[in-house]
Amino acid sequence: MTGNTNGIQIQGLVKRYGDFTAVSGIDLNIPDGCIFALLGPNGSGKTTTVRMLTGLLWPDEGDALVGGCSVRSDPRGVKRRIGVLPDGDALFPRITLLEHLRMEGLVRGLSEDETERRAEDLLRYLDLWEKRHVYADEGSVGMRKKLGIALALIHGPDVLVMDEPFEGLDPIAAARARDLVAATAVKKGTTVFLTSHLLALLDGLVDEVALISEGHIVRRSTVADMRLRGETLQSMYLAAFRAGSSMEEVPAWLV
Amino acid sequence: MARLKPILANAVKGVRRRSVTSMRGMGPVLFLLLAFQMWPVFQADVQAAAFSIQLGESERAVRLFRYLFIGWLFLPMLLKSGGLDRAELLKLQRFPLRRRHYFIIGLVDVLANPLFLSLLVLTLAAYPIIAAAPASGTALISFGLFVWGAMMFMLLLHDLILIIANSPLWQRRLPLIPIPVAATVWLLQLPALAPLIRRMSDLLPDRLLIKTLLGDTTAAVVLFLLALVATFGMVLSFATLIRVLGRETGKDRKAGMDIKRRLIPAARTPAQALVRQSLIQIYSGFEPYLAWLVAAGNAAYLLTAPDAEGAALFMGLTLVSFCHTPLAWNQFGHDGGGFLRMLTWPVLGRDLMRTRNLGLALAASLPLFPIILAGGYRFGPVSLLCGLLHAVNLILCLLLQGNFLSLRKPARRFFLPSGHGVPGMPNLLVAAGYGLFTFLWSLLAWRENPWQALILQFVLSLILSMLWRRSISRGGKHLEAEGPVLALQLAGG
Repeated sequence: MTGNTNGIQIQGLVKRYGDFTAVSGIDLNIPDGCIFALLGPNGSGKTTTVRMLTGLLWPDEGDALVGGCSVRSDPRGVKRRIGVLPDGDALFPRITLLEHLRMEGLVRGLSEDETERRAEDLLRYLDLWEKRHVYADEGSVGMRKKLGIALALIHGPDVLVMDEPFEGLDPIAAARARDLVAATAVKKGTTVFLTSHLLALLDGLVDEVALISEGHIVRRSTVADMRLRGETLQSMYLAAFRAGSSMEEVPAWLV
Repeated sequence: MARLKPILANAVKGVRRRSVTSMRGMGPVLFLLLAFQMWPVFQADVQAAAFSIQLGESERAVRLFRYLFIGWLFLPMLLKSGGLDRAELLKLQRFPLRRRHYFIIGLVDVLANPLFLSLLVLTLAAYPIIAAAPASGTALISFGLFVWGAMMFMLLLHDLILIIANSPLWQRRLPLIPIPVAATVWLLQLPALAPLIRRMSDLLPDRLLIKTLLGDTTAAVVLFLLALVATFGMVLSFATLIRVLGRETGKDRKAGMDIKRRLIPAARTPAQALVRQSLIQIYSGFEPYLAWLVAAGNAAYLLTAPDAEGAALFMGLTLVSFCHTPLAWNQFGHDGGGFLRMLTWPVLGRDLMRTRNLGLALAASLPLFPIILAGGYRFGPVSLLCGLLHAVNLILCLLLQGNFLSLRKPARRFFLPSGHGVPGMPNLLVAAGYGLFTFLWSLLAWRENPWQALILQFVLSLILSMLWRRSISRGGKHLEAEGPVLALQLAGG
């Protein structure tokens, strides 16, 4: 595989945990500047895919080019090109929000002044400026998530890979975070790869979606095509994974 | 009571399982290690030891106390594997329990903890030695041992109180509880102080007004009580300080955080941020303050005790680093989140290792400086250099262990003296490492030649430096190769 773009090309990516195959040979081609959502039920292989794309997990088979760098042969190059919001808190418990951003900016090669400026801009935008001296482990789930988003964005990455970026945010914060991601993609041409369960927030944000189930891509479509077919993200998702109500399956002793 | 039964059974089962897990596979080695550390105490026989102290063999007395100290220090680390953690308490609070139920559960949990018994046995074993320590230097050490014992008991009882107090019903009464607990602990230990009072009576100058007015023994008792009140006040202030500096929750915790923010400057570089993270994390617990207390006591001993020997410098450094550095190691980027964040950075594994090591060395060596300076002032420049090299060696040893262990189990906090679920093998390695240094300084003190000691320490520094450089290089490669696996472990996959 070769490539110099800011997009993501995935070819035959496989990951196994013992006998269990979490991701089973997925192929995806995500063009530059596209906002792509990988959707699926819990345990379907979304997080494993994100980890492989961010150099946090070796693929057993296949390869992926992220921003032109191979996750197999150049994981450090991948890490250099991307901004990442991993699953879980990848934060130091006793470093303040501002210190996290300072550290990330400097590690990513920004100057001290530029880091300060960007950190303040991001913290103000995400309504964290007043809390900038709070330790990460003292912040709420939402605060930590917003900090994670800011950390992914501070160095202006070419590719943004985010695992469930809006989960845990209040509606207003989620909308602002969503706008931030959208603006980054539209104005800067950043490619965005994200996973989420909040389908309503993704409507109007993403350009393309793929549905994953038991490690396989079961459906893929652009949002424009979906609209032509009269579908929404919600209806497409429900049609793919579960049709109808589950009321009749509620245990009898509970009702 | 019927509802309580399964919970109690579960509490005991939990303690037992954690103990078994932490000890699994290391029983014979642990026994040998304990024997290695404690054999002089057992072999010499307590009474014989007491005679030797009375006869003025202070070197031997120092050695005995050192072993006892070390036993006290590392036994909790090895044995305190029980205890309800916060998650368990939260789960308990979902049940419709009464206040007395929490008390019973807390009591069962503490009594089922092997630490409780081990501390009790060690305290009883220490009594005859303390009672037979009239020489001024050893009396000071015995008094230090005494304070240490009280502290350990306070810590244990404090844990019990916290367990009970985690019930919302008890929350309001919490601040008042440590006072009677501390008072009880001190009263229980008073009888062993009788020889110290006798010694004070001998030491008091004849022309002292209080001696003239009250007579020898009464004056000594009064002075001793005054000293006791002062010490008791110091202990209480110390307990308050610890509470304020972040052990507790709520307002105290916030006040503690504010103090720490003011004391530790804001970070501007990644390395500074990591060091700051380490320092704040370390000083959020109880134990580092004990390490500073031990450091202050050792420095004071070196400066004031008439029979202090060069070996005491090494002993002080070893003890304090044992108290403090594992905590530093424990906190420095070994939390799952911080380590995962570092793995997302586009940096070489070697650079990552080096940054963490340098920051850790700084954080870990802080309380060693007062002892090194006091030793240098008391024994001269050769001893100062010796002390410095010994401190460097201790830190290098710690870094080697840290680099080895952290890459294999990155998110585990191995050294939790007052924590839970401590795995045995890493503790064994630490204890073995420190045991080695203890042995080395014994050897050096035996020779009583500071130049020989200096050369030996220097050679040791060279060897350890080479090993450290190798561990950085190999650790860096390992980190790059196994980074994804570590990330998966950290993320709970």
